[in-house]
Amino acid sequence: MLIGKVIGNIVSTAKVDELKSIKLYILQVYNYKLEPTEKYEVAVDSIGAGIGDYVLYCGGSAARLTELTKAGVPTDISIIARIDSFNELKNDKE
Amino acid sequence: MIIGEIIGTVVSTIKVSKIENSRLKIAKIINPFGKPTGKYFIVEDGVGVGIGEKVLIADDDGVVRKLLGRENIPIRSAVVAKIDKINIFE
Repeated sequence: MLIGKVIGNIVSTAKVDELKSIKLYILQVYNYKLEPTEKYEVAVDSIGAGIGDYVLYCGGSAARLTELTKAGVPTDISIIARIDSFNELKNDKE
Repeated sequence: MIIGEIIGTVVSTIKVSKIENSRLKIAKIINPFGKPTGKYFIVEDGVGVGIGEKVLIADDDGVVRKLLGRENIPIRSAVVAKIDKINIFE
């Protein structure tokens, strides 16, 4: 699982039937210090996140095991949690 | 899932019998702002898209099996949606 921030969404009409009425969000990937990286992902929204939220997402076959996606939604990235607060550990020697 | 732009097709006559009916396309991977990342994928077209269109690509073999309903096919990446618009709010 990794941390991302919801920065936008995708509008699509022609898509496979299983993806219909499912929200697709663009995530910017953040590192463990909550700094933005140059990586982006497109994720299925399983929890009802909003623009600007920090979220946890998971990839691979685990993305197809949430309540929304286990009916056969063809995705490999799903938002699984919204981050309320984040505690950075202070014992980082660097 | 990642965003790509279809830039060509692949024509092949001699191939594994399991992918005989596959429509294979070449996709250039781009970021949400339209900038190419330098990566390219050969993808199975599950929607029916044309050259120059922006698409959503799922890069996981379980996706393709669900999408095509075929077990044990040697394909990993597939187009699952055609993108009409990308909205960036931040």
